[in-house]
Amino acid sequence: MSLRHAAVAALWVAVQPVFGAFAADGGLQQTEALAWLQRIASAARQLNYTGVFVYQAGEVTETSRIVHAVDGGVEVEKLEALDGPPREIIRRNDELVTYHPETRTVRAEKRRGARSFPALLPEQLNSIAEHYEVRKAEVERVAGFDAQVLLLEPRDQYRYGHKLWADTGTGLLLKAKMIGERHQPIEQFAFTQLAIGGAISRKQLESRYALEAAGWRSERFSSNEASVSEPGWMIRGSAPGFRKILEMRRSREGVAGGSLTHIVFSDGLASVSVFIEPAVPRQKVAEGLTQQGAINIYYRGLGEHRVTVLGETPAATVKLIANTLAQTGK
Amino acid sequence: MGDREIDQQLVERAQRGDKRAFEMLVVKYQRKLGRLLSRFIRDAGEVEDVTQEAFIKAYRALPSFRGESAFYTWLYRIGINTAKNYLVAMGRRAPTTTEFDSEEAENFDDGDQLRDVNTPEAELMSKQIATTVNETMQALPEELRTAITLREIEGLSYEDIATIMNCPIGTVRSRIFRARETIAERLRPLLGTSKDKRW
Amino acid sequence: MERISALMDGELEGGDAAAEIKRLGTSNDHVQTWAMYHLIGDALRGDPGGGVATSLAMRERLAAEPTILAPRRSPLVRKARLYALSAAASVAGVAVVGWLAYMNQPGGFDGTGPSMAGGGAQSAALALDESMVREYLLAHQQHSPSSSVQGVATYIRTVGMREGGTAR
Repeated sequence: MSLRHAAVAALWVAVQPVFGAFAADGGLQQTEALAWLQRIASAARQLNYTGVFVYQAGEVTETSRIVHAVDGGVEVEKLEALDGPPREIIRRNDELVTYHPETRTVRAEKRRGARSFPALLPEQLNSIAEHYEVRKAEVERVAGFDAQVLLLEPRDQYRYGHKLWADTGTGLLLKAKMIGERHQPIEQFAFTQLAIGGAISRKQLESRYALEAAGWRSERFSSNEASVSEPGWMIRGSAPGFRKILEMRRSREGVAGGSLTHIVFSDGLASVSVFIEPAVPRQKVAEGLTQQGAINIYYRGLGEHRVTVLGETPAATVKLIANTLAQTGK
Repeated sequence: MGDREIDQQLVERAQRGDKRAFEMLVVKYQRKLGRLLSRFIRDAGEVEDVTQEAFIKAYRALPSFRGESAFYTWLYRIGINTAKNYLVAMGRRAPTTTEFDSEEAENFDDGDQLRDVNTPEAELMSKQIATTVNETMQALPEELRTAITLREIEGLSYEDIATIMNCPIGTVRSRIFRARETIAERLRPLLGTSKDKRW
Repeated sequence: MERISALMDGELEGGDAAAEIKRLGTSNDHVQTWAMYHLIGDALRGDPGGGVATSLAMRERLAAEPTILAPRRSPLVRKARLYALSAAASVAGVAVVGWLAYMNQPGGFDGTGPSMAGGGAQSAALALDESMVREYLLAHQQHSPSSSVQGVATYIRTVGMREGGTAR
């Protein structure tokens, strides 16, 4: 046990590259490791499981309980906050309902995008392989399960590294760490209790607030997606590895004439969102960089627009994308 | 160290993973919370369920308790909300907020006995405990009986009791302890014969 | 055991009380004694209750709960603030770590903070609006491809953020 920990520690301490020198047989290693990624992506969606996990980013720690089941083609998931203000999220396929008992608010939204696609698309996997060196490491124990460790080492400084622990039996992601340029952990998620498989009752997937929420304030977040074939924006210059994968317009509730352009750039794993909206006339738009947990946020004015760029990437990346954004045809 | 400081210490230990510390808080306040909730919920069995539910909610919310108020004040609010939600979920009228949101309400102890617990065994146990305690009290030497009465019923501090009984504080402490232990000795066999020996 | 008796009456001095509380946690017997003495007090006040059964059911429920661990709270982290970096400082590449106040906290957001090292005049312009950022984060998370791999972490990263967090 301690020898293995020492080995893992050695991986952390290595200066360059992030995960330490590693004797590799190149191609086969990578293929196997990528296959693991595929397993991870599908396992979470196809298995029944219940557990408790802890998420940490910077100084925030959050413990949650999750129940996940698949029944007749419908994927249902319940997420419950175990510390701080009580919250519950119920997901059925791509419909999400969030309950906030403290503010007596219930929020419904539809999640398109990644969840609608089967696991990882081939081009996504290719993109990951292009921008990260992916390889298997040893097997460790997490929450009572044997876990295959996978390392995703960034090939440049525009993205973070990842370390993943996947259950050797089912491929379910048990633990994950995102690692920064200075080898500091940016965020971590890990199951502390877990049971995989078995039947899950309907009751376990219902919100305890379902009844009383009838009397709460109700919100709905909606978005309309415009087709990518009418692109309005592009990154001019280099934000290496980040390709535009989505562009859409979103309507904003309660904002008169409020419409927002949302563009997503991705390298297959990390993504950066760009939000563009009209600036208020004659009001100077501030420019700045800030951070929300594992996410860096950069904002600036661009012509008559206000641009906000954010993503789970190093600050340099969001800044670069923000600064090289240009309208097509201009 | 006063009562509030003790609660704060127990909370902090519980926040660092010591479940027993939280159990001690439960033991300390379960009757008090139960009495509070029984003002809104008639059935004693339901009161018990809701009280337990409130303690569990309190346990889960413990990381966000910052000690800005007394623990019982915070627990009290959780208890009230749990009871409210329970009544609403059962389709019953939830009491209006003025009935129990005032500061005083939280300390108001109307002395009403909790309505009899409804299972025959629990009711029997309750009566047996009461009888045993009373009998033992009668048989105690007077100075022990007085000391524990002044402490538990009148709520006086050791210092005040020492003044009233005209003896050193150390003697007060020892007398109260001996009274408790004598009664405890009589109760242990009684409680030990209940269905589950392990607490 | 006499110390348990004194402890519950609030009559142990600071250091002794802390030590005693710590000692009580080391064994079920100690907690039983604590419970017994409290039962006696309740009985004297006319409210003996259900005795053992209540505590046992409670203990079992508590045992089933995942153990909470609230990291020690730094007295400095009281209210979360979002610092908007002035343009000059951002050019200098100074990253600021700040936390948004919990989304639904009324009046809890302070959009401007002290200027950071690197000087520069405080920007008088519109800084980020809390509710806007929340919207952005939710929208971002909806379409994040890494949610395939990292699953729930992406929910929590955005939907679950809350005030100040619990400081380490």
